[in-house]
Amino acid sequence: MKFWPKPFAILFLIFSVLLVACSDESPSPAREYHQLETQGVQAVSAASATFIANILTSGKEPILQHGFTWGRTRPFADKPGFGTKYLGSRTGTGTFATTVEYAFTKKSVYYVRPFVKTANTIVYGNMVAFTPNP
Amino acid sequence: MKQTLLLALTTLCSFIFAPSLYAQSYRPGFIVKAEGDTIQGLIKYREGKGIYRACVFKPAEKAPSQKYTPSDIVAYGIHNDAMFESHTFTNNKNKETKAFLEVLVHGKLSLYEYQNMLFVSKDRDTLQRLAVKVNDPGIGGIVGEIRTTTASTKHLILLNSLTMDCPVPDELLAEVVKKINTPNAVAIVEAYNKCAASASNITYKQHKPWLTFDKGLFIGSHTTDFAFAEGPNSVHNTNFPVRSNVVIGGHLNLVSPRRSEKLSLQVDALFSKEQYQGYLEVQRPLTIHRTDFDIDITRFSAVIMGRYTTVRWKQVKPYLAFGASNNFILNSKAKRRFESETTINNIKQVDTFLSEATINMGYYTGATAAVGTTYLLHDKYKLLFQLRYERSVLFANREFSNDDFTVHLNSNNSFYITAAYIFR
Repeated sequence: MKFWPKPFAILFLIFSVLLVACSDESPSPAREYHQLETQGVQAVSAASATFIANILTSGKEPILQHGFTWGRTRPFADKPGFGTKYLGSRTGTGTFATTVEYAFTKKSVYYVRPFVKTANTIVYGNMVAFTPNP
Repeated sequence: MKQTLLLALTTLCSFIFAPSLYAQSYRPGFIVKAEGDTIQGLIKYREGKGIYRACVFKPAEKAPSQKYTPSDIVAYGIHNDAMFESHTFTNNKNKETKAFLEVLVHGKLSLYEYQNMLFVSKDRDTLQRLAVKVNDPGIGGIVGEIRTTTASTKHLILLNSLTMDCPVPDELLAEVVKKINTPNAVAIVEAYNKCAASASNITYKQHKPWLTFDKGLFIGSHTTDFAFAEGPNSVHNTNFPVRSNVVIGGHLNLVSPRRSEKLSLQVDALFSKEQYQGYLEVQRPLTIHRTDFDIDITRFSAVIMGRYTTVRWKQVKPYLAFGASNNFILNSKAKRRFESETTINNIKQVDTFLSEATINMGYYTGATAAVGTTYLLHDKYKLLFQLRYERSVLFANREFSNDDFTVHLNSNNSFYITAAYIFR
């Protein structure tokens, strides 16, 4: 018994192809630099805080330095009173975290962002606000 | 890529269905000539006003067809289906007309239909129009005046006079006090005939229900390209490539086989969780701004279409459908990743900002057209394949405000390709 007439076989095939094979590609082009995202701040106290970030994509140049920078103003880089924690060179994508010992002013709003330095580029991730409590 | 595929599919469907548009469907039937001879053969199955004007008949499968008007023959019919008789009568414009009338019930009292007009005839006597006349005062009157329209009782008097020798149940007459529809008229005439002369009663198309519906479940793919109409940082220039998402839903097709085998009302309700990605790059003298948008939408759609089945093959029934869609955004979320690249002393600095944008849209509507076909698996089960195009007009919930990341979405073109499992 011929179960499928020919037009149906063709339609079914194309339908299946459209459903399965039409994977959509992102319109966002690959970057030459590393892409960063701040994942959060944990265990915040007046004396320390743990910063967590993620390298989402790798750039073309190797990472010479990475870490976190923080302060009470935004933007805060190159301004007095900001802190920086260097974590050295690294390779690849993935999460990195560090706990910093720092005399935070209680109940003040601080901002932190991760960074990655290569020979010709410095990339800052998004800023996240946190408030040290006793 | 996908647009090419869809175009190919549309073209393919056109090729598949094009012959069906010209295909003629003949069914076993007969014509009755003026001298009383009945000639058996094949009658072309048609719907619409044409059935009252002429019939196309051929005595055998390979014989040439011939058109007969009401002046040429006295009747024609399709076996186990419809029956038409040639009559001269006065239509609703008080004009004497000769046409084929569809015989709904044959018996001591007969019921005929001509273009939604009903006629009754007792013992093959003169045709009498069965209609409710409404006394409407018409345009005019005083503002605030209560206007009353009343239905005439002439049709009830006519029915009572025709059925006086064998009264029909009051509950049947009660159904036609203000409005007569065909099923109620058929029920009255049938009731009378069964009482007065039961053996003579023939109700045509009796095996066909007045209303039935197919219901089913479908799964498919929704392909669309969104565009922003308004928003901060020139988001209207954002490139949103065509994106495919899975849709699931329910299918309902309301059909009146006794009225029409070709026309039906299709209602599809679909649910989808959709993801769209957009990218915008703006070059400035010292900086380059790169923005990525990730949009998640949960959507419910109700699509209502009039469906026309082009031809009936043994198991396959291709169709065309046109209608409107109503789309409700149940939930939406747009993430924006903004990267600003500045070059100072040959060192590039990239700053990253993340934010959430609000999709300023809760509802949109659109015109839609579909081509599809059903495939009969069993008396009660069938498959349905459908390709549907939708041109939507998207409405903003509120005025665009430049101090937030509210975005308006522009009009969009969507294609749906779905497969459904239908059961009665």
